[in-house]
Amino acid sequence: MPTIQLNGEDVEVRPGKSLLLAVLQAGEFIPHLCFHPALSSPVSCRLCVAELGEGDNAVLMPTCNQPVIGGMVVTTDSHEVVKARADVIEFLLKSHPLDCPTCPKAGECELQDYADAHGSQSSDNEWTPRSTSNERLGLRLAYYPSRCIACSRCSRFSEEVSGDGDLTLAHRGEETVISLSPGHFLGDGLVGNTVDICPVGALVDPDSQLDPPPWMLTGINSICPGCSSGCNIRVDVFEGSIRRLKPRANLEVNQYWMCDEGRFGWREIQRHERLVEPCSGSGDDEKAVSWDLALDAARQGLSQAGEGGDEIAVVLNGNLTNEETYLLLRLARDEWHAGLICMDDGKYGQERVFKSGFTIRADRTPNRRGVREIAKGLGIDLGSTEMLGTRLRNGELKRAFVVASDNLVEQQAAGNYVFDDLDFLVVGATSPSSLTKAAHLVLPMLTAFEKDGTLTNHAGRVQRIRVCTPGPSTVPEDWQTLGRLATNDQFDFKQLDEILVAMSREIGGLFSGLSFERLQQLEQDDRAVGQAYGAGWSDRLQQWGFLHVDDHRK
Amino acid sequence: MDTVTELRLLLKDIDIPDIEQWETYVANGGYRAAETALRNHTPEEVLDIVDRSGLQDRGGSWYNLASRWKRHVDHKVDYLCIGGNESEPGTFRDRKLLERNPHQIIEGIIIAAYALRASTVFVHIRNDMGRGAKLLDEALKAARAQGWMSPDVGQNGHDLEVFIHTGGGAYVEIEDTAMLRAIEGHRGEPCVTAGLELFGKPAEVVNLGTVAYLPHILNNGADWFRDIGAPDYPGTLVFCLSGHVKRPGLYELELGAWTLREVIYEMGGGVRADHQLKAVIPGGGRSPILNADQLNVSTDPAQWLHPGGGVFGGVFGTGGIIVMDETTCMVDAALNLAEFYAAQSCGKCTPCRQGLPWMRDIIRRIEAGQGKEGDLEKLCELGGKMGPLLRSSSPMLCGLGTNFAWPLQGFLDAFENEFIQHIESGACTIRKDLEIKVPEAVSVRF
Repeated sequence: MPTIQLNGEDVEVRPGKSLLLAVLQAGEFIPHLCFHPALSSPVSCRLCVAELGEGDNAVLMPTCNQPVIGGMVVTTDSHEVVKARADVIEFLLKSHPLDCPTCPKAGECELQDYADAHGSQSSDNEWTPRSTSNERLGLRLAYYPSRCIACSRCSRFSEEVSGDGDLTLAHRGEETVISLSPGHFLGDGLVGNTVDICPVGALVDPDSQLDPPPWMLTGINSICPGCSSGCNIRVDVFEGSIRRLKPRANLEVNQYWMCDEGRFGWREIQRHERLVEPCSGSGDDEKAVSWDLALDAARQGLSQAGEGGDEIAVVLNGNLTNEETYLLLRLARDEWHAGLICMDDGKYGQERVFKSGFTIRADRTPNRRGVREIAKGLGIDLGSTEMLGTRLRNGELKRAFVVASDNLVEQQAAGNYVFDDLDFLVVGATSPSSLTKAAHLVLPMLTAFEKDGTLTNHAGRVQRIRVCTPGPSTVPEDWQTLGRLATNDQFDFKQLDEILVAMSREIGGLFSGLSFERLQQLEQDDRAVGQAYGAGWSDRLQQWGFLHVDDHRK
Repeated sequence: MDTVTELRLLLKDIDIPDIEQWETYVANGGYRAAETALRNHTPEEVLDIVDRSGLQDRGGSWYNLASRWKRHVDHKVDYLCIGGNESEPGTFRDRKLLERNPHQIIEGIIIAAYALRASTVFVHIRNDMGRGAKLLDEALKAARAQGWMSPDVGQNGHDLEVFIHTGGGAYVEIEDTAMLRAIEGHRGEPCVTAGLELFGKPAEVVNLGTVAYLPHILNNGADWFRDIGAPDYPGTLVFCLSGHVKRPGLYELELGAWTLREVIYEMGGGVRADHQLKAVIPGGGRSPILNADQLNVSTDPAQWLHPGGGVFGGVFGTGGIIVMDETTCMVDAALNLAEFYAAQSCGKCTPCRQGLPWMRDIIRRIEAGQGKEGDLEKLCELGGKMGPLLRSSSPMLCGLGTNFAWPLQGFLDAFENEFIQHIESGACTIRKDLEIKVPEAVSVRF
């Protein structure tokens, strides 16, 4: 590793093409606007200047595209540097509308923060704000040219990351604006990220303009349940309800991005009607029962004598967490001796690979890999849903525990699976459907943003999800529900963490050595829950301790 | 003092009727140099001739052509780009060379491409030089029909094809990387690169008015060229004389042979009758303005090029001499330039994008009689702020942002009183004469 002299001290830095990045990693902050680590450097904002060289030979240079050379002398705190930063900010604020009180970016705006930290506090600035009409660039993107500082992050993003080239700069000089490239329409792939990387409030999500400001939001680190990529996200909630999802930086998984499908999918999930209490009886006899009664009935119905397990089927899907899967598979194997344990193999979509390599996986469930790995670890052969259909048709099955999924409901509607002939059908589901109508017992479950646990992405990376928004108050966490289905006290887990530890002992493999504490260490982020701020790169900067955010939520 | 006489190289044939036709050009000795280069010399020998001639860029940068060409690996590039994006205020040389004698340019291109072993040439022409582009295209067709653009054109493995690329008309496309980006089909914005590249391959950029010297150098020899002009700056320069002179136009003069005053008074005939010379911009928009007492300076770039070392510590520029008499308001003239630079900033770098319009607004205010105390200090301060942020020691993308700060400082140095008077009296007191004047005579047929 090369050593450079940074503000008079010898510091070891990572080699690379960007001195700015190396200095940031070494713990010294240099403000920057056009630079983004995942994009090319246009060296245009000129805010990242530092003095290179010693004494009289020192010159102000932008650092973002300056290669790291051992022995460099870099000064970031001299009078000249401080003045140059203030000058750049003065130039930028000259035509900025300063509409911070109504700007949705206020509170996580890089220009606002840098003006506060590095701008000169007084100025004879002859303020001439731009007056230009706002533009709707697409369904998910509104553009406010008056706030735009022409950093070109968004157009470089569309050129280099999404690869569609939808956004470009138009006009020149002080009239430079962002515009759709001629003949282009804004795609639906990664548009939301342009809002994230916009350092000011020029690009905004039109649907979230009336949301509470960022400083009122609590950010909770979690994982996107949209596909098997396992993008690291932060769920920003206001008084218990989700307001937006933002990507967190993880170079090994999602870099700094997330797709629109994942980013805006939560609204769809929130819209569904929910099951709030267990129901017994099917058809018109359906009536709500207490949890105790419901669980008693389930235990009795599913673990009769332990013999004749061949007639019991258990159906899982890739939306269950690792912990839930482990409990359910243990129940199926040890208690119910189920003759058929199968995974719902639906919910595949179109795989989309973008220019930078960012991928939306065809598998639109977050944990299919986890379910497979755990079944393998427990010595269980997962059957296919075809086998389920065959055995149902042949009348070989009498009882079943089914975790509902859209695919199963569709298949049932299409007549591929007929559960009507079963003696006892238990369905775990989040919302009512024809499947829950057919069930003899319905156990309400929680959606992806309502539960705690871990997910395993397509590459076998185990990552932590957290409760972001409370589920219905009458519904316990799914792992507790499953734990209570055991007749004996083989599951005496008091904490969710204990299940993961048990898995790490029993299954090993991907799970060996894992605990929530260990996952937190691997995440290298001690702000699992805190003040919401920015996304992707700015989230990473805050993680490194550069952007100090006062917690206003108290 | 001798009378000022022209030494015409580039303008030698410019008044011959139909010189843009293939037959006329060849009848006047055309394509002899290209023939000599391709048949009798290797590319290295041609490069050596260019080197010995000491030819420098005529686009305003004045770098030595051969030493820049020799920086390329094996002295070879894949693409040669000819910069015909002339747009410096007061400069109209390339336009005329293109419109009157396109074959001279093509012959120069053939020689330059051969010296650099570039098989593909793009001629980047400003879109509002449409007539020139059309004539060049016709001349190219004629040259192609004669076999000058073909695989193995020199019968020694050298291929050549020339394309015309009309640009969007942005001033910044003078800058090499911006021009290359524009040819690639992107926004014509300067960008930071390790070396000049087009479509990912090595490229060289040469000014259009500079390649036109190559046929003359090949015909007459490098030593002949070296002996013309100033010691450090051999050759001639086509000066573009415009403004309030009796005979504006193009004058091709030996570099350093005459003073600016001689050029203006003897070639241009001096200012109009009953008027006095007030100010001269000596080399296009980016050179500092001179007042009537400062004209006894030689037209040798060596006197100007080195900041601090020359007489005015400025830049010699492009040879676009703009003469102004006493009907010109200096604030108005500065505003005119400021509007040009502010409108031509590509908008990439913050200090230039925001600073130039800011300066323009202040000057506009002063000219409108609404200047405030402290405005002149603010102008200097802005120039001082933009300078370090855009200066050449940093990876400067282009000089546009600092280009205006420099002449503006010249305006303030030479005519500070006029600015102060505007501010104090709250009005412009100059009796302006804005009517379009038809010159008595011109040097070159238009």
